[in-house]
Amino acid sequence: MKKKLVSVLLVAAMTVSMLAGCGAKSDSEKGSSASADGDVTITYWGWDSNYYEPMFAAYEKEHPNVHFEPTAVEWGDMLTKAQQALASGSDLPVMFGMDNTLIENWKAMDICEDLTKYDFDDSKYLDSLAEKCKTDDGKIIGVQESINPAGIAYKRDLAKEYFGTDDPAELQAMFASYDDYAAKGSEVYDKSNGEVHLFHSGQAVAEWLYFASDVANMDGDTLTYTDKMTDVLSKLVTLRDANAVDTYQSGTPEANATYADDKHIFYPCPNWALTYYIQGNDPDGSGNWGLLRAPVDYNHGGAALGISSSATDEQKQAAYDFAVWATAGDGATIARDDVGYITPYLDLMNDPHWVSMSEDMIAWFGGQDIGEVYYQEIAPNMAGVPSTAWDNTIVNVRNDLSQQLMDDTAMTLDAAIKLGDDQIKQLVTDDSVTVK
Amino acid sequence: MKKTHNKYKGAWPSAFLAPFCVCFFLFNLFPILYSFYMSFLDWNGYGEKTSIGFQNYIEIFTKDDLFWKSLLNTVKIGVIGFPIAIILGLVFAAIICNLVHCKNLLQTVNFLPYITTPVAIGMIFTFIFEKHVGFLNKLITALGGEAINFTGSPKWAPLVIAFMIIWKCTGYYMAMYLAGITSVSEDVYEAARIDGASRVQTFFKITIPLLKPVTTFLVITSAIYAFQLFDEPNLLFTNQSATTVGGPGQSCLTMVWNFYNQAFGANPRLGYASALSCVLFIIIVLVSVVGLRVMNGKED
Repeated sequence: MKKKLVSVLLVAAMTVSMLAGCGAKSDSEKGSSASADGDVTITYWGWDSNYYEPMFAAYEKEHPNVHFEPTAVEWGDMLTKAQQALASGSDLPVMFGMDNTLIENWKAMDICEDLTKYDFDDSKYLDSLAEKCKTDDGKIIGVQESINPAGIAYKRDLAKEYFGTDDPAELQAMFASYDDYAAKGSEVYDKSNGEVHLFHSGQAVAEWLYFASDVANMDGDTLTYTDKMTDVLSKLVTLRDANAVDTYQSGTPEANATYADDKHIFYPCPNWALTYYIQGNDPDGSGNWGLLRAPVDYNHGGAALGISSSATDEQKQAAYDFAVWATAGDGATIARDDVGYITPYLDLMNDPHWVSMSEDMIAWFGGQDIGEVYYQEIAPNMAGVPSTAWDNTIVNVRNDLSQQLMDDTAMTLDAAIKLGDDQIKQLVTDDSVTVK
Repeated sequence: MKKTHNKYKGAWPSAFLAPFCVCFFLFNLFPILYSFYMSFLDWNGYGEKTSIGFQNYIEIFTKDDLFWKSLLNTVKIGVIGFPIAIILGLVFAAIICNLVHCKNLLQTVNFLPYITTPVAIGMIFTFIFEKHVGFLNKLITALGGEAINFTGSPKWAPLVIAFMIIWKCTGYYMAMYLAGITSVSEDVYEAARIDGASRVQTFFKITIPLLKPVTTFLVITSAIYAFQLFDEPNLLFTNQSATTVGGPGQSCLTMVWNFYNQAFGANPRLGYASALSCVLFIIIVLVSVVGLRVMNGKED
């Protein structure tokens, strides 16, 4: 009998322990994020720890009842992770970063809290960015973290060696157009016996040209692939044929290491790349960098903070308060000073006294006031086109074509466009979308 | 005797089997059946489900060029990589089994790639094959050649993946063959030696035929592995700044990568991806059955 009892208990224990992980969280567990003493826990998924770590630390200091539990998620995995959580019925985080390239796909999931419920006034934010967070039925699904003006960063020592000057104004006059980059790129290549290129990667150059292009990705239900890619890749082909671009694959460790080498001069540089790429990959480069305006001023990427509609009311309110603090309150100053992010909140963004870079960042750029370049010279003229649900697909094809154009220097623009046309028609699976 | 027999007719066997059966149902059978159900839906994983019958399957076989491309890529990479890995595994096993010194060391060294995490393998191979700083290109340029963009060219990229397979699997195949060789009776080899057979003759006339069950097992499992290939190409060609679907020119888009992109891309089609996974399942079953028949020949 005793043996039987032990056996029954063992079977029950095995079964229960195996099934324990299958259950959904109980209400009491969910409610634990907002306890009786007013403490609120905000879970967060994001990729840019340079941004969220100092912001969360500062907010927790100001608001001791709010605690953040961030999870670092690779940029490319963010949307997939959210989709999988949604499909499997798992918990979404209270707050998450949404990259602007994928923002239409975030909208399609319909998981974001509508911020109009909180009387969020997006007219106080830069219109072109605020518009990205608006759905067709007037909901606002997020708050844009920062404007992302982009220029061209350069290494001063190499500029002096190959162009005779590292002065930003003189270089700006030298590099006023894409043709100037091609002509100078050819000179540098010849002078260095093929050792030095202006840019390290065709993919990085194509990314710059893509964001600087004023050709919209969609026209109604038509994906304007040919127009867009022709605009982007024709310039890349010109630069490639002038030997202005090296063949690294963007984003690889080898490509990132070129930030600290003496063989590549220019890097397309949005404001978020200052810490993310330049300081990260060239830690000893303080004082050796400068910044130019690109031939066309443009906005590069960017992200918004979204709040999950499935979170508790306390969590949603706390997350909303944080988002407003981070963009229109004291947090905006911390983002400016610690990360170099400038809020799209117009009252601050348009205040030349408020908009400035940290001393450290200015020193990194050899004393050049890059805040003035980014926010007073580039930002008012930034080009940008509306986001679409197929942006990521276009970006994938762009990455492949730019790599192949660099790999096969005999490949013509037409051949690349044709190749991409075959690919994109296979990848765009919505029958209501026409690829042109 | 009767009492013992009755003991297995009561509730206890069922009770002890229940945990496995419940888990098998929840984590194996249910997902498989649910995938099959999903394959008849137009569903993105979170929106409204619409039943569309066999439309997904019809689309796969009549409209989807990517499916055929991914099938061809998978077969191409598998056909290049796995036979070489199996042959090398056999040769290494034959050499190592006769060694007196360093046998264990060589076995361990050869087996290490198999237990190395795919993420590390992706990084190692990037460092080997990268155009500018990669070890192989340094060697090529040192010998007077021109650097090759192995990972950026549609021509070379599938070969890099095949090489990854060879590097990773050879040690495992070697371990399998070693186990097979040790089970061959020494008497057979002794008889061959007495009859005057050379080492090469012994290898081809005795070792290889007697290892046929091992070879059959490795060929079938390799075919299954080939059709499930995903980690290696995905890790080699996915990075934060310049992700592509399927590597350069989609030359490394395998069937599972295609499935993954359809299921979890920016514009997900979970229903369609489920149909792809069902087709993949059928292909794997067919290949396994045909492979077994061919390998076992008259024995069946």
